[in-house]
Amino acid sequence: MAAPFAAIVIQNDEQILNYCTKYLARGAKLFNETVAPDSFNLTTVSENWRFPLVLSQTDEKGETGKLNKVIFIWHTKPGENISSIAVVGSFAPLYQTFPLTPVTYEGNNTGFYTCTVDVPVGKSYYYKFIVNGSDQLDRINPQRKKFTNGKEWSFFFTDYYNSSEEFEEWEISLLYRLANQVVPFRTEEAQNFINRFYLTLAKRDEKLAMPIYKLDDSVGEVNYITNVLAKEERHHLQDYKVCLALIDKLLRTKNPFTDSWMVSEELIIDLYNEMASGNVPGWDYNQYANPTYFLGLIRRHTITGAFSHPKYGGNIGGAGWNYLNQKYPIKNDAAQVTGSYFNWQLALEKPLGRNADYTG
Amino acid sequence: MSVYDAIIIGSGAGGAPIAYMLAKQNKTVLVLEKGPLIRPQTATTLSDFKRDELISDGTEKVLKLNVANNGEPFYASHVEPDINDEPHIYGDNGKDFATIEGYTAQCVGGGTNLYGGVSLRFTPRDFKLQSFNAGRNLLDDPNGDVERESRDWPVDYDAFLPYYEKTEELIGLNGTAENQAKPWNLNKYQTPLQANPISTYAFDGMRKLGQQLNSANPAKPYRTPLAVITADHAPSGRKVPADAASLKTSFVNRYGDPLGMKSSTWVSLLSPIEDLPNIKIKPNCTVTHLNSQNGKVNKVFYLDPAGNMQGAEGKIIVVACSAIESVRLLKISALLNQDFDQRINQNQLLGKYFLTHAFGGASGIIPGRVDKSVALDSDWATDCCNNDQFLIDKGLWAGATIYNNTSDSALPLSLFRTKDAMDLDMLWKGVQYDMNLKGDAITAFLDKNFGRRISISYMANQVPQFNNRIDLHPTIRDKWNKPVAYINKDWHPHDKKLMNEIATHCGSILQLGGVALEGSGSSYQAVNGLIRIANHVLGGARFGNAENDSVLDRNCRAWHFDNLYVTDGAFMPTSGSGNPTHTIEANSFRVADHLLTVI
Repeated sequence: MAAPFAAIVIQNDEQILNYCTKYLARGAKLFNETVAPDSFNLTTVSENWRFPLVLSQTDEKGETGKLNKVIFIWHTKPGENISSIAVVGSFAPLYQTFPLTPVTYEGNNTGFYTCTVDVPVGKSYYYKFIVNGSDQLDRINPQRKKFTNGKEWSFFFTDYYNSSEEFEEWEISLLYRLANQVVPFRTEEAQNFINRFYLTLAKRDEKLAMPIYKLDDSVGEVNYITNVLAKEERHHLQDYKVCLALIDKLLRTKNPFTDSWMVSEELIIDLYNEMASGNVPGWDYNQYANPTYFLGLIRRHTITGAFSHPKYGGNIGGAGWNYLNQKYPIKNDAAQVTGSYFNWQLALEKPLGRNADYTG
Repeated sequence: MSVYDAIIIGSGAGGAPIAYMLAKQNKTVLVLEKGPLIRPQTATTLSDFKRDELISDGTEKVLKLNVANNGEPFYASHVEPDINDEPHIYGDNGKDFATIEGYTAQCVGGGTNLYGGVSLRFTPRDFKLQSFNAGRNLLDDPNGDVERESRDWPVDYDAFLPYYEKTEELIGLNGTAENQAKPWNLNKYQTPLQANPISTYAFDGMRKLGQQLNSANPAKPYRTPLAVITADHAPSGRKVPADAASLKTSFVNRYGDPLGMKSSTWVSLLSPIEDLPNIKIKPNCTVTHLNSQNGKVNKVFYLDPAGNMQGAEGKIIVVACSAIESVRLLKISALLNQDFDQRINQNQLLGKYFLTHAFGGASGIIPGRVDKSVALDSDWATDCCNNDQFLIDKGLWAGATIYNNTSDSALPLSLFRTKDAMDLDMLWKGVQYDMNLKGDAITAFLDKNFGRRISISYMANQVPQFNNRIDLHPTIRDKWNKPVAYINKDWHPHDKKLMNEIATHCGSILQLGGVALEGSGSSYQAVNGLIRIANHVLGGARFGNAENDSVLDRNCRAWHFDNLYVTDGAFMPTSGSGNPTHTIEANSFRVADHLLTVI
């Protein structure tokens, strides 16, 4: 029998309730007779994308960056009786069920059921709950994975993942063309740096949680974008789907002989400027009213992807940070590099950074 | 546990010192905290506080409430309330807005986890602004509002002095006492760490401005007192890393500290006594209302972490939820209980004289470049605009402390998202819509700004106005269907005069220090300037000697109640010339001594 990929972890009720109370617990307790009709916040949870909880975890060396502690949570509805509840998923053989146990508070059942497992980073997993004997998808986490046989499962990914599930190749390639308009990594100096940096990472690959792909002259901003659209900013997923399709059509009209993501740099620059102005010939404003707004989204996402912590999918291996570290060197009188004006590794956890005390 | 000696609602600057003092004297104490308990890391466990720029101002959320800024994005900290779930609503020119406040956190320790740690004492003058302004003919105050509305505190600086010392020692602050415009007795500060190189410009400018303003007796800069320990802290048992300088990470302002070196009330006061048998700390518990009978609060109702209603009884009830939430709790209790209503609303002052700070400053670009990622929140401060002579010379009613910010826009995302953003509700807008800022232009932007931005801030008293007030909103409810707080406030003309004056001096500091000045200004000038000054929420339940002129007596006991106390910033009749946390904590230690005589 194969060993499980996932290791069960003893649950920490205090930590679990920290999340459940803020994001899930709600409902009219006082003034019941005057519930306002648009009181969406009485029933719509806050930040459903946080579930299942994907938290840092230390490995056998005591370092973070390789494992995530994943906490599954089932929130019972009023009147719902649980006789048995478990979770199954691709983090272990599918015949292996992981029972959820109730979270109690001062001896009372809170209505939250939970199970905690340690799983490797950089991967995606599908799962479902088995509640009172029947399959249930996660009622909180909106991410789904549909298989070719029509079956649908709940879905999550761990840190350092590249979630291209919701996007096809052509959409990602087109997104790269747009994101690359924003980033400062297109100069020869920056390109040289990035290529050197990735070579260094590749040599150290066994120390990093994820394999290094050729990243198309970037630091993985688009990785970040596809991740954030699946999770934290899922409300913008449709902006991207609709607009990328419009842009694809637009570019094909301008150059019918090339795939949209392969058009010349000039055409992409023109497109960028048109979107910035708001006046985009060929844009279908009935489908999407404000191309400038979409360009703004790309801008914010790209910059965030370039410089946020690598666990979100961008800034791979700290490439964006290292770019700044190298770009602003401290030089002595003989013009030799003696340091940097951005020593980001001092504060950050190992193995990504060098801090001796902060674990991550 | 049937009846606690004390129930303390809120575990931040207002509540924790009282919980600490009472528990250490073997009183039975229950602390109810709405937010989660986030611990620093230990040898075996990680912390949920992280050095991660997407933790302090996260991914985009969208405001869904039925308010004027519906649909606007907001970027919040993981320990701030979700403003769709638990908003504060602000009125501005007849419209309602919801907004991030910035330092009202929801977690054990409250705002003391989130703040940069600036821990200034108020000056003796701050305690006596009514006396100081009696008979003065101030500019931009045609109706004599300052003279009529300012109040002396019922307790003066001399009475606060030993409690400032106690706070400095027990909380764990670092700083220098010399050159502060306040009388000093015992120096309880730890030694500050070496300043970030960028602060040299601030130091030079402050020194020169001090000489300019008063060559006979120039005010000199002093190291900004910060609630961060720099050496082992015996009272809380905290030990600093072998290399204490490594605590300068620039993950300070709006970041909880995963190492626990920022002196939140959790790590400094509550964690050390957590295991005492006579104290119970309950996070994730939301107090909904209080019941009273014949002036005695006899029950505290709260929702447990699962949302089930529970009750608790205490001989003494201390409300310290931060000013807006405390006033809100008292008003909701009044809706539900007639005895409570008659007593708390005995003079209509509950919710009135809501205060924040007048604040603003200046920013600029230094000639060279430094590594700003190795910094705490502030290095140098000056009281050159905080002494009586200055106030008389300039015709101002009250003073301001000026200090430099070191960790602001130090880290990459922080630099980008604060571009052109006067405050937290404008994050990302600058970069998002400056369409030409791309490619080479971003490189140029980084060349010009990265490791080069310096800002000076001031924090000043705000003129109290009766109509600056906290009410309950008529329609908007929180996620528990309770009415939310509704704040209406405006600046007084004299506030604007004061802000213009001090902001100019902040600009002078930069110029005198050799910095290319980018601009100076104040919060009232910002887009959304009316609602954005909510960084420090104070007042609404002021203390005083006369029951017809205050909500609380000099010991912060609510008039006409036997056992109800309010000890967060709501008690302040004037807002002080500096960040309020230190004074809130000192006052709570003071009130704790009083409570120990009555329990």
